[in-house]
Amino acid sequence: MGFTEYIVEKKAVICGLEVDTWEDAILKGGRILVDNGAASEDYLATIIRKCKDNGPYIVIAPGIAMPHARPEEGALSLGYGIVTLKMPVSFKDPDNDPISLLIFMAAPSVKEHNEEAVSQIADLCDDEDAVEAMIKASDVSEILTILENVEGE
Amino acid sequence: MVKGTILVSNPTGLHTRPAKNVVAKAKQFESKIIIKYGEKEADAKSLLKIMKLGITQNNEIELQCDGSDEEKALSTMTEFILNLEG
Repeated sequence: MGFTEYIVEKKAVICGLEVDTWEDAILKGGRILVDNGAASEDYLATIIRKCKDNGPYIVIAPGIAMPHARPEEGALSLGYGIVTLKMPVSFKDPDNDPISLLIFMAAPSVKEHNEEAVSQIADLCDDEDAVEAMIKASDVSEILTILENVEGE
Repeated sequence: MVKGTILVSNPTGLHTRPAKNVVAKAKQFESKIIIKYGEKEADAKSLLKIMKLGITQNNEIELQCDGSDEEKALSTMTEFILNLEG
């Protein structure tokens, strides 16, 4: 199942999540993966630990983070989730802060991780109009509509 | 314009963290640096564009450098990608 298809079918979206810190954003937003059986609780804790150890590797573009860890670090099945924040938070990445959009990802194998998930998410994040519209959206259905109208290359 | 072929050998391929490092390195050069993978190509100075290629371990890519420091860019970037870890 593709990224867009998955999000739409599972309605794996949280709109306007209220958080105080980037750690909070990962733990609260990441519930979307845990609740869909895509990742364990440890997966989220691992992402936070790796960011503290290695810097914010999950920040991929201005305003956007893609929280994920390696397949063997607690990814249970292929899963995604889109989370927008009510108030943006800093991920300590001066080039791209503050972050308002989080795209969670879990993939049980490296092949799926890269070839499918990552390139589909990059397609979405490269569409600046779609990203801006998602951040401004006021409810889940609005985000789903935007997503369905994004075309990959 | 100069170009060369590289076999990506680090385990995760040009995934976010390694790709971020590639972008940072590429930005040190004035030359335009293009990564070609199959039919697709990407600006090596854009993380999102590289991510869209979905390059994994053992994929062969072509690096094209075009500009005043193209020779240095090609040799440095080739060496850098060959030695990526993670």
